[in-house]
Order: sequence, then structure tokens, then C-alpha cells
Amino acid sequence: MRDAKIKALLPVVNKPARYTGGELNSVVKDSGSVDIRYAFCFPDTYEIGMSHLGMKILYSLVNARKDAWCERVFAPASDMEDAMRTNGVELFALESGESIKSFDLIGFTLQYELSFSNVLNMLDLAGLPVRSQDRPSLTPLVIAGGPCACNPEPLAPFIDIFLPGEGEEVTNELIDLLKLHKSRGSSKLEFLKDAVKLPGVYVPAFYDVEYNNDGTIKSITAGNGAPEKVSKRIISDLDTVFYPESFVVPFVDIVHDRVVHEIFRGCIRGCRFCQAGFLYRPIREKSPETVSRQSRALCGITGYDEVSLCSLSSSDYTKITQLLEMLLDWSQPENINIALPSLRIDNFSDELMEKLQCVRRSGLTFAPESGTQRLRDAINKNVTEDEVIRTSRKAFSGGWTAVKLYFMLGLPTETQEDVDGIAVLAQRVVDEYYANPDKPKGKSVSVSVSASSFVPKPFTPFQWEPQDTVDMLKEKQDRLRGKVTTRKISLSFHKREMSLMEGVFARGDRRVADVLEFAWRSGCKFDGWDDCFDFQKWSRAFEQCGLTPEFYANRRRDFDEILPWEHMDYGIRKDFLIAENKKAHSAVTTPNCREKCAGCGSNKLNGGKCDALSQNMV
Amino acid sequence: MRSVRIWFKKTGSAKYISHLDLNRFVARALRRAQLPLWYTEGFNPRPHTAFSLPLPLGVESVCECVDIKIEGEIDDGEILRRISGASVPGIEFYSVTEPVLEPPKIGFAKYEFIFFPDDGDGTALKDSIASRLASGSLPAEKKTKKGTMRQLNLAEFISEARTDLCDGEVTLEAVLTAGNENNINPLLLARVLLEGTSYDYRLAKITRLKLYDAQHNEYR
Ligand code: SF4
Repeated sequence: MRDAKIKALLPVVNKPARYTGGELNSVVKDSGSVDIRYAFCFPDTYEIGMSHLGMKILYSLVNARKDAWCERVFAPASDMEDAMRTNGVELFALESGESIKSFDLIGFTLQYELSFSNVLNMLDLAGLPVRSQDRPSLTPLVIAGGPCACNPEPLAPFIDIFLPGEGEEVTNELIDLLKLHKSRGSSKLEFLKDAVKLPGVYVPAFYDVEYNNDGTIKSITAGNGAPEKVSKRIISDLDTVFYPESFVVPFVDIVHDRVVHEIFRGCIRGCRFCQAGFLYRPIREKSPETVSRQSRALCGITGYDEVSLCSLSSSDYTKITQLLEMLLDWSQPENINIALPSLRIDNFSDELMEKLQCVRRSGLTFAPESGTQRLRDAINKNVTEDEVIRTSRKAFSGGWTAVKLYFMLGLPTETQEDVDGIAVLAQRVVDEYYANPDKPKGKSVSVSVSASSFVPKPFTPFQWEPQDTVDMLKEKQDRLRGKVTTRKISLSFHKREMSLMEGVFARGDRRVADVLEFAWRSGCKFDGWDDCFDFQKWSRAFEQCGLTPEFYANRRRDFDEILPWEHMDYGIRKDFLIAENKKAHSAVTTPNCREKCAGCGSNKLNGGKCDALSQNMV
Repeated sequence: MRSVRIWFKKTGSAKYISHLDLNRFVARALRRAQLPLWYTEGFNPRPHTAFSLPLPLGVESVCECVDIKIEGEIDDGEILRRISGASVPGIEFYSVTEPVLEPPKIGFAKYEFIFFPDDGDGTALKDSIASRLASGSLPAEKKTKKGTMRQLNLAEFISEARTDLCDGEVTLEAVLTAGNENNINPLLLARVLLEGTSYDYRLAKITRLKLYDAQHNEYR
């Protein structure tokens, strides 16, 4: 089945096992016996894409249908891409080795703004025009989902359909509909007009955007029967929703090579900078019984020796102790590790601590996010300095010698004092180590501080805020570097220009699409990779298109400005976000969802239900 | 507890699975096969696996083996049946034996090379390869364990070589020194043999056929 041309490339590229397919549990079907061929595209490398849980879910979900075959596609590394282009090999799906050009559906998952150029590159590598209007036939239909679909506008001209929200149900509905229209011989327009009747389907071509003279949006108007506002889809019951019975097990080492299990969606914390915390609301928990049963079956079929529980904040799972008990019950005799990332430090009960002795923690990491209590209050990050110090003390007396601290620079309302506070807090952790009488002899402590640049995101209280300019960030990074006086503290920062571009795409409008296309045509791809990112090319692209990145990233918006994602409905109420924004500016916190419902509005998309809500009512 | 040697072939695109990746693959296959394995002691118990001779990336083999430790009652036929059911196409487990020689006893390995001439006429290529082999001088550079480069004459490490031409393909069967000392990577030989020609040595199909001890007895 596999093209001899592809085979000839494999011996000359790096890590060819990324392109061979044939991994355990990968699904091979007879292409003649299915109606719909679906290319699930991850716009990054194999190692990153294969670690992604959403892809595993949708891959299994589509392949559970007899009438459809879903295959995996990743962005080839540069050496492979060059070899493909030189030898006329089009982007192919891993299972069949066939070009995805002739598939029915090409679906991208948008996890990160800086992967947008790879979306264009992959379409092009498949031999397809990048613009939707230049692909007149019904198939292949190019669709996209994932968190970045909450503001899909920078990709609007390239994608036929966006699917905001959770994809488990709408994917099947869309496949059914496409199958029907394919058999009828419908045109693309006929199909799209029918598709927008499905909830959670956004066809950007059906919306007309008008601009004011100052570049802000004047109006967004729906046509062709498309809804004025597109609501994201959500899954109501995580216990009955489809969950894969098997994972493809890669040969090459990937980022997360283990059974991954989602224990709940949403987050009760309401940190004001965190997009995920708002996008995935309302809170829905999966029962410990389901998690344990499904994890055990997955271990059996994959041979993995580790289960990692994932969520935005694992210790907020109400039945965490019960879940760990259930898991350890079978995992210990079978020599399987349970890993629990995203643990918060503030709500460890002693009982949980005890259970955790048997669980592998992935290093000691804290995310105070900012250096002073005032700023932590402003961003609603409910962690105190005392908690960091107390937990460090516990950890040091338990023999740890390395701690990682995560901070952000450029948060709204940040002052020099807040920047200095990062160094002060890191130093206090170092001092805590030396205050420990039983510290290991001759061993020094290592505190790594990662200070990323804050990027304001849609559907957060900070969606109106100006992002710090590249110069402001440089000043703050330099200042922080000057405040750290010991080699025991190591500092790492994000590339400032990368954060700028991330901000542009996060809050960009449709006109940014031209910049994206121009930059891609001049060679931009893998923009999230330090060694590939080329800011000069991006600057030139902005100039060419008569736009500036500052307009999108560094400008404060009024609360009544029409935002590019105004026609997307993620449940979260705008007045809730405005209230949260105002509270941030006066450093007032909001209690977490379990203490008190803040009335975010996201439960309206779930028939009024929110698991945090029912828990705080009883 | 007893040691068991499991033999397998690694062919087709499975040749692109690196040695490290193969380690992980086999560990997982053993778990899936639900064999009564012996686990190492300690905080992170692992089953014991020891591969006889790492296979370079891109080289196929019909004689790979891995030693595992079994604790509990299970016969060799059942081990083979279960591990076969837990594998993927390209990695074919075909026999389970009791290890006779320890891996450090390996002294030689036999490889088959197939070179595909693009013009379809292999005579010139075959002659060139044969005359290089006959010259007794095949200078090459090899990375030592310390990371420095060592100059060597590959001809001194070839104990048997036969070239042939069949259906336009040039084949070479060669026995090279192998094991802990002086292990010769067949890709290095292919490169040296094709140096200066228009052929890309990486496109040759290379298969490991057999393992021997230092006395040229079959490795068992
Ligand atoms: S509905 Fe209330 S409890 Fe639920 S996520 Fe929103 S604010 Fe939190």
C-alpha cells in the first residue's frame, strides 16, 4: 500500500519511525469499505502530537464507526519536508501512506497559536490550496477545533468549518451529514448551509466582518442561515461519553508516553489569566469507578506501566482519595505507576499526603505565578507565600534538593515591586533549604525559576488588557536577572517576540490571516520552536499587509469594543468577565467555585448543571 | 526463576525502530503478553531484559534475541504464543530457547547486503565492490566508546565475503566481527564500499542473518 517514493525517503531522514505508521493499536481499514476518510492533523511534530489526549479520543471515536476511517497526520520535520517536496511526495496519512488530498475530512486541532503557520504548510504540502475559497469541491472539507478555535478569526479564510468546544458528539454528527451530502452529490455550499444548522458548527465564510476607520470591528453579520452566535459544544456526562479503549503506542519516545486519563473538565479556581480555566467550564467530574476501570483496561491493551491523571488541578477532584485507593488497589500488584501532575500545594490533606507516598510525583513544582501577594490577589491565584515556604520545608526535610517555580511577567497591574518579589520568593525558598538542620551534607539546592511572558487570551477577564511590549518585557527580565544574586537560582524566560506573536493570534481578527499567509509563504513554520521562529519575516509580513502587531497585542480595548470573537459563545457571560476584570484592578479575589458560585454563566450550555454548583449547594 | 531467550525477526519498516525504542517496545509487549515475569527489586520494579547485540537503525534482522527472566510455571510454547500475540507486524517472535551462550560470547555476525543499481545494470557495481573487497584495504573511521575517532582497515574485520549478481541486484554476504570488541556496523562497510560511486549507501537493504561466537560456532 505504501508508496515506494515514501519508502525511499525513510533511510535518509532523522527518526524515520515517525513516518512509518504500523505502531501497536494503530487502525488499518480497507479504504474500499468505508464512506468517509478522515485525516486527523496535528500541526506539530509526531512527538508532540502523539502525546495529545484529544487526538487519541477522536481517533478512536471515528474508528469505532464502520463507515469511517480516521488516520493520523503530523507536521514532518524540516528534513523530511524537504525530501518530500524534492521528490514530489504529498503529505500522507500514517496508516495508509496515502496522500490526504483525496480524503473527505481534514481536521486540525489547534492547541497553540504558534502552530497556525504549520496548518497552512500542511495543507500546501498535501497539494491543496490554503484558502477555503480556492477549494470549491465538497471534499476534502477542512475543519478545525481545539482551544484556539475560541477565536478562529486569524484562520477564518483557510478553514471551512470550526468546531468550538468539545468534539465527541459533533464529530459524529458532522460525519453523518457529510456522508449524506456526499451520496446526494451536494455542492460545498449546499452542505455548509445544512451544517450550520448543527449546534456548535461555525462556518466563517458565512459571516461578514466590517471595520471602523481605526481598525476596530464595526459589525459581524451572519448570513446563509448561520446563527448569530455559535455556542461551543460540551459533553454533559463524562461517565457515559466515549472514551478510547485503546491508545496507539508509538515506537519513538514521545513527550507523554503513558496512559493518560482525564478526571474532570473545567476548573474551580478562576485564575484570571488562565484561558483553559474558563474555556472548559462548567465543571464536570468523571466518577472514580469509571476512571479506574478504563485506566486498567488501557494498561492491559497498551502495556504501559504508568497512568497519569490529568485535569487542570488534580487535587480539586472531589473524590481524589477514593480514586487513588481504587487505582492503587490494582496498580501496585501489577507494578504500574500512578502519576499525578497539576497538584496544587494549598489543599493537601494529610490523608491525601499519605496516599501520595505511593504515587509518583513528577518533580517538585509550584506555580505562584507572581512575586507578591497583591499581584496574586489581582490575578486570583489562591496561593500564599507561606504555603510555598511550608511545602518547600516539608519537601526539603523529605530529601528533595530541587524545586521549580513558575511565574509570569507582564501581568496586568504589575509593578517593579512585583518583579522584584519573584527574586525575593525564590531566595526565601533557598534560605528555607539551608535552615533545614537535616539537609543532605555537601549538597546544594537548586531553584529553577521560569518566568514566562503573560499573553492575554479571549474569554478571560484579561481579554481587554494590553500585553506588555517586547521592550517592557526586556526591561523586566533584565531587572529580575539583576535581582538574583545566587547561582542556586536559575532563571529562564520566554522569547519575547514569540509571546508577541502568540498574543497577536490569540486576539487577532480576520485581517491577520493575510499576515499569516504572507509570513508562511516567506518561510515561517514551526513558530513555537526557538530554532525556527523568525521574527524578521513576521515583521515584514505585517508591513506588507499594512498592519501592526501592536494594534492586536499591546492595545487596551474598551469593554464595549466588538471583539473578533464576539460571535462565539463559550457560555461565560461578558458582564462576569468585566466584573472580574474590575476586581483584578482593585486586587480583590473571588472565592473558588466550591466555596461560592461566581455566576460565570458557563452552566447555561449544560442545562444549568455544574458539578461545582451542585457540590456547593449541598 | 529461569532465563529464557526469545528470538525474533525485525523486518520491513520495523527496521526504523531504534535500539532504545525496541527496548521499550519489548518491555511493553511482555506486559501485554501477561507473562509471569521476574521483577527487579526496589522502588521502581522492572522486568529484566537483555538484548544480545544491538541492531543499527535501518538494518533488518532475522536473528535478534532478548533474554528475559521468568518466575512461575509456563512452558516455552505458551511464552511464544503469548508474546507473538502482543507484537506488531515487522517484529515477529519465532522461537523460545534456553540461553546457552551469554551475550558477551558473540564474536561475529553475518549480514546480507542488497544494492539496487538505478540503471538496472549491476555488473559495474558488482565488479567495483568485489575489487574493493579484494584489495584488502578498506580504510574507515569509527567512533570509539570514548568518543574519539579511530582509523581502521575494515578488511581486517571481514572474515568471509561473497558478492553476487542476481536479477540486476548486487548482493553481498559478509561475516563481520561483532560483539563488545570491534563491533563493525554493516552500514559503515556499505558506506566504504560505495564511496566515490553515485550510489547512496543508505538505500542498500541490509539484513543480519546469523550470530556466531568467537570460534564461528552458531550463537545459541
Ligand atoms: S457556574 Fe458557578 S460554580 Fe460553575 S464554573 Fe461557573 S462560577 Fe463556577
